[in-house]
Amino acid sequence: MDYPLFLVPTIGGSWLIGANAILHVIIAHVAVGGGLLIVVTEQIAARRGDTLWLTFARKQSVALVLLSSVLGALTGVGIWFTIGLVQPAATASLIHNFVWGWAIEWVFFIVEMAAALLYVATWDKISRRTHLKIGWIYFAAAYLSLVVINGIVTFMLTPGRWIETKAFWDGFFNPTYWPSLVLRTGIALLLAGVYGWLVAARLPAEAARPALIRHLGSWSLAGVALSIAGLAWWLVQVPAAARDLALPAGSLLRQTVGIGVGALGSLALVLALFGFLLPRAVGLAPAILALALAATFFGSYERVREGIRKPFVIGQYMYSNGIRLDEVDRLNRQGVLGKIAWAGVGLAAGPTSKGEQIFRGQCQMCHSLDGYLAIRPLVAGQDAEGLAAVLEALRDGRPGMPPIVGTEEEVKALAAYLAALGGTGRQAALSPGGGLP
Amino acid sequence: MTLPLPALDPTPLPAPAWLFHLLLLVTFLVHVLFMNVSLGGAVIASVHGLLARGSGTPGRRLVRWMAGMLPGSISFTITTGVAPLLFVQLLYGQFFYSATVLVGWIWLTLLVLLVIAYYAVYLQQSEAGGGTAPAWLVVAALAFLAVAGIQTLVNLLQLTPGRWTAVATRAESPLADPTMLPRYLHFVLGAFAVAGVFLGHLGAERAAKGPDAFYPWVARVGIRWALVATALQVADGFWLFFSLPGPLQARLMGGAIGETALFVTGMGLGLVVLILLSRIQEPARERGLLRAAGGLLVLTLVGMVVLRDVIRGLYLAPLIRLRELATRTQVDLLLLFLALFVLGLATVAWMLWTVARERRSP
Repeated sequence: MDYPLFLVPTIGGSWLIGANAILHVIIAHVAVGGGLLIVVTEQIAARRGDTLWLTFARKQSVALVLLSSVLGALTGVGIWFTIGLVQPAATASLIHNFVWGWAIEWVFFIVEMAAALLYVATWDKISRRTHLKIGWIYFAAAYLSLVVINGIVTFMLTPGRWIETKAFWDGFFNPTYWPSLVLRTGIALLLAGVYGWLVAARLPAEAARPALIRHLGSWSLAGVALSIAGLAWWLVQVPAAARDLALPAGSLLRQTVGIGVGALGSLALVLALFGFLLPRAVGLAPAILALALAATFFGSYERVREGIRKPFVIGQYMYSNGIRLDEVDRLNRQGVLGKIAWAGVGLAAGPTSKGEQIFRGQCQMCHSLDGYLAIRPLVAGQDAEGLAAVLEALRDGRPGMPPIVGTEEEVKALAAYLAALGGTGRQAALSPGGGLP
Repeated sequence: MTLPLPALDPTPLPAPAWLFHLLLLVTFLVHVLFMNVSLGGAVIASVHGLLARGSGTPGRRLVRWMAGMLPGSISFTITTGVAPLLFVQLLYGQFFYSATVLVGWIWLTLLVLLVIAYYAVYLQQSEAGGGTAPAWLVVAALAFLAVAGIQTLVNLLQLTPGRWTAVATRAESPLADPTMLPRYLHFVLGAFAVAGVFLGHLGAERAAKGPDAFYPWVARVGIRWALVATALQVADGFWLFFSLPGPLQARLMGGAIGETALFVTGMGLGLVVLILLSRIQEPARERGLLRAAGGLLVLTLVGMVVLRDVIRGLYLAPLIRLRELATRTQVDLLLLFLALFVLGLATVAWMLWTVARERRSP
């Protein structure tokens, strides 16, 4: 990678991105689904003259705007900050290809924020008709943001024909675009309903409340159904190699898949049980349970989607360590050290420092030393010669891992560093000419 | 040892660089206007809230008033900040990413500070009754002042790749640049001036509607802040100028006609604003003078945004020339963006207009 490195100890950079991004997408999808839910609820309530439903719509809108305009907006900026720090090359590449997409999304973002703040500030202060119109504008703008961002996020997993044409629309309407849009629409609806339970749980327990709880429960159940349909379609469209990282027994993401599916199934049960059989029992606890299950399902999906993209950060175009596929041959011939010059800054000169530089520039994006995807246990007890042979074999990559790139001598230097890291190889690495160029 | 600049992304720009450059400057200007009201407004109200003794005082009322306005202005500071953040990454990504990585944890702290400031404002707003101290607003104001510092730090580091290795190896503090402090003050004082004039206008406008003594007071306070901040700005401007690298000073002082003209015009406008502000005694009754000062201040800000960009160009001149960046224009997307942009602004304008009309005649 060409840039100075931002290495996050223990959890690794990808989890720094992930922790912020998962929070953001949950809030963003609550805002999309919640926008629709509020305006539809207000419309029904106004027609029926139902004060409880109107109170709910109003409270839900305040809760939503407080959440989305502050934490939602700032975690959105946080995505820019974290991906720019951890994956600057990939971010630059995405921006060069999709800057107009983001510029368009920004327009929707402005409209969404203006409409949201006005909608909340004008309850009972303007005509119902205008208030509803502003509500619809809020929802439309929020949903259109999703429509745009969905194109860029799915592109990263399945760039489709873009690989040959490099054309915006080929990348945007890629093979997983539509299934993902269906899935995300479903997730937005199910999150909005369960977030609604949380707000409704704090309303007075009037006679009209069970009907409201049922109304919200059916939103969420519709969302669950749509999510399942979208998810199935998405799985069909995902390339087999990527699917294999998640689905067969023993695969890397098996646990996450299990947790996600379990959470979705449990959510459907909770929604049906409390929403339709025991709506009077919906207080804070069932609402929080439903929200936790919904967030767990959604978080697991995002984790799997990111996970099966490996070894790429941009499918078939750039590896997760920032090296483009079209650079590999040249770097194997000319060496990778020039590209990762910044990875050597601050390293004390020593027999293994070139190897360490290569490790930092090529591997540490995913592998921490002792924390997440720790490297030390993997190399413990191995000598430099054996490791060099393993690394040479990894020039072809392995499922989920980019190929090792560099000259033969560079690979030897990396092996020497790893052997020293593993402990028993220190002697070999420090001996004269211990595998260094 | 100076390490190579990260390679440019090989994908061509999807429109001519000048267009993105223009969008960068325009969106940055709008962002700065909202930012100035948020930062300056929070500081001004905090100071008067702290000086005030007792709940009925205008200082405490200013705190409540400002706490009511800030969520909207912060929200639009952030919303309008996203666009320049996007365009600066597109045009200056090699510099931007490197600079942020070098001070990565500090850069991330900016977000934490903004979340704190934002919720602090809401907490201030929710303080019931009139006897409340401005504690939460002070928290927000301090957070904003720190955010301004981080922005100055990162922006300056972008311009000085020669320092990167020293900063990366901790041989040099990222703050060590001689222009850091005057540059920071330049932004903060500017924010006080703009927020002061904004309060002057708003106070004068409300004062015209009724006999409430609070609003003429707000207007006077605002103008006083703007006047003092602009006077200090003149001094700080000289400090900033003389701390710039020698060759840059030379270009701004006659070395290059266009750049010199811009520099002199900016300074001249600032001085005229200062003179106008000093002549306002009772802003609520001198609306014409107030409007002239406000209009010229915004014009000065436009000049300063352009000048800042010119100075960035001078710093980076040997390393990047925007007009030489490879381009392959995506005409359909460009038109789609422009159409949606106009439509989006029209939608916002329609909403504001309709709400204002219905509120006037319910």
